Amino acid sequence: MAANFWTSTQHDHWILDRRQLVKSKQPDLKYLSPQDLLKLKIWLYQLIQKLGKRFQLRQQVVATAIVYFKRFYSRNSLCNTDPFLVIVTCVYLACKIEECPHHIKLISQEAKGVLTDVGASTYDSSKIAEFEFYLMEELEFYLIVWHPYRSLTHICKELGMKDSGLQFAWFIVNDSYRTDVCLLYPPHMIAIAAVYLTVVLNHADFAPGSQGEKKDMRQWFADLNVDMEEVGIIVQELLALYEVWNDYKDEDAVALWKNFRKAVAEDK
Amino acid sequence: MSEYKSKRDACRTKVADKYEIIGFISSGTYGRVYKARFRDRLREDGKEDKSEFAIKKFKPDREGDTYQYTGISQSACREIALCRELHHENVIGLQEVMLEDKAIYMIFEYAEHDFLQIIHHHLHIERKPIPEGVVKSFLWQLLNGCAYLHANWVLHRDLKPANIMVTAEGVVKIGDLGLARIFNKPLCPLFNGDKVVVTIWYRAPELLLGSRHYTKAIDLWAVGCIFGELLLLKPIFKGEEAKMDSKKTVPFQRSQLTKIFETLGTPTKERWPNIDQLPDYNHLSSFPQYPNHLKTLYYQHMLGSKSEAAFNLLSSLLEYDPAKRITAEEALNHPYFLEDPKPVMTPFEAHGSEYPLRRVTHDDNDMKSVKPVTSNVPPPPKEDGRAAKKARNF
Repeated sequence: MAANFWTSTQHDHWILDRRQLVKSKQPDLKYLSPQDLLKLKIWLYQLIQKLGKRFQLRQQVVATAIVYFKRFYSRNSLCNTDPFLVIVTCVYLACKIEECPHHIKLISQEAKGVLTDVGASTYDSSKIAEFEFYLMEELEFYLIVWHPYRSLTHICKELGMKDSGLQFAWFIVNDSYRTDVCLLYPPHMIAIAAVYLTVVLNHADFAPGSQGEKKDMRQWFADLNVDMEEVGIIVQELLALYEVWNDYKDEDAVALWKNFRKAVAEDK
Repeated sequence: MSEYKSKRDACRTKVADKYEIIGFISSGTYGRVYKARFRDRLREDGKEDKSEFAIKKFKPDREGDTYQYTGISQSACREIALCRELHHENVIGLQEVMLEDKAIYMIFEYAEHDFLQIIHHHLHIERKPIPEGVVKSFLWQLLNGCAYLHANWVLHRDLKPANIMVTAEGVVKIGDLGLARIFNKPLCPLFNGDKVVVTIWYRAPELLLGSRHYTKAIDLWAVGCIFGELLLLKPIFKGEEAKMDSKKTVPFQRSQLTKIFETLGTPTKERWPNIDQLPDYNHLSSFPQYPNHLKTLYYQHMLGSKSEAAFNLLSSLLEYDPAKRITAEEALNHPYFLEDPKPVMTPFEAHGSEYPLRRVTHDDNDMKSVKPVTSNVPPPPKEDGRAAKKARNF
């Protein structure tokens, strides 16, 4: 489990099939184009990040909350649920599981600060606590999440990559949580993809005499003994994300959300 | 969200539809534990499914007369998260988790006995030591489970006889992971937010001297205390716990340290080089200089046949310096386990041991009952009152 990804519940139960993800998006695609749906999701992930910032959560805790959110929505759709309540509850639960708990009243209070800005309703503690049950159940009580950060640090250290490069790759991993790769691939593959992008985009500087400096990086990736085709797919997903993200604006997302809600309400 | 909720509510299996309660086992601050079996016991092959379970029901929080959702406790969250991941023969298995009416039910495999009950039985009923082969098999399996937890970066932090379950065949199952933590991620320091844990009699000297770091070595100290207790049939360091004062400062546990020093000798810088780094090191000079009596204790007061290797393992577990204390992995390869009688996974059969079945009562088979928690605690079967203080945990 905690020492071995291959025996973890993430590996056994929460590496999903792409078809499953496509299926879970169908109800929402009745109201939105795939690109707009991605923009909405980006906006919702930003809200998780914002709420995390209020508690000065480490990136890994935020990442766990995002993974809970994604797992929830791999079986549900935005149009049938209240994503803001899901967000708040995911953050509350992730804090506990990552051993930096915050009182539920404080969570409710801070959520108010983040969510009233976007016109969402507020949730008192009992609402959050009630939904925690549903969330736990939906996650099938598999709560320990693996992230690419540890593999990333390990790889960069082995290569002798300078801090600026590690930082760049780290941000790519952060960005990867806006895509579905964390539901589809093992975390070390995402870390390798982030290193790959860092190298290809010329952001990797290596310390003198380090492996990264001495070796031909193409050969180094080839020698890794992982499926480079899969790494390629992850890289593609990331590049596709950046394309959408480039013309993403928070205000547009808020407008998108309002229209979406209206369309859903009219439909019901 | 109401549409989503009613959809979910409709497809949820009820605990009582799937499990039949055999009886009530115990209660504690967290809630109550019941013994249960499947309601439908007909297996596919036509035979009866005899599996038994211990259902731990976390009591929902109450405000006035109505139950409320107040958020799942940190300790229940931990126990659920960890037990879901862990699978090992010597760690209690979690069958499933169910949610119903604002309460959490954790369904564990059932274990008929526990170390505390077995020790008590030998001390008061049989009045003779636990057979050497049983002690050795217990210790080996306990270390085996511990090594698995540690290899997976999990610290148990509350090992004590009441938390070590034993099946009817004598297979050891480490239970109660409510205090366990994963230590791979240096999140907040491990000490943060928690009171010092580990029941005082099993608490390692570095914690008693103010260390704030939980390490694997702390679990191994507790294993050493448990080994000693299996041989002595009573706690080897039975100190009085100093309670938290009104200012909520963590008290210095003088009595517990005295008990340890009286047996193992007052620690010195030679025996434990980094001892002067500990926050409460300055208290040390106020203790008398006791010599190390462990050998006398082992050879004169501990029961059963004597073995140099057993003594050696005991003192390696009760090593003052956490850096020098034996690890679970090393202990499994200790010469003691190569001597006859060899440890086995099912020692009761080999040694003809028989223990009374776990007591269950039947006046409270309704898991839904809203009786005050204290009124149904079965009378403590032990004279030392430990069972009364804290009911058995699963």
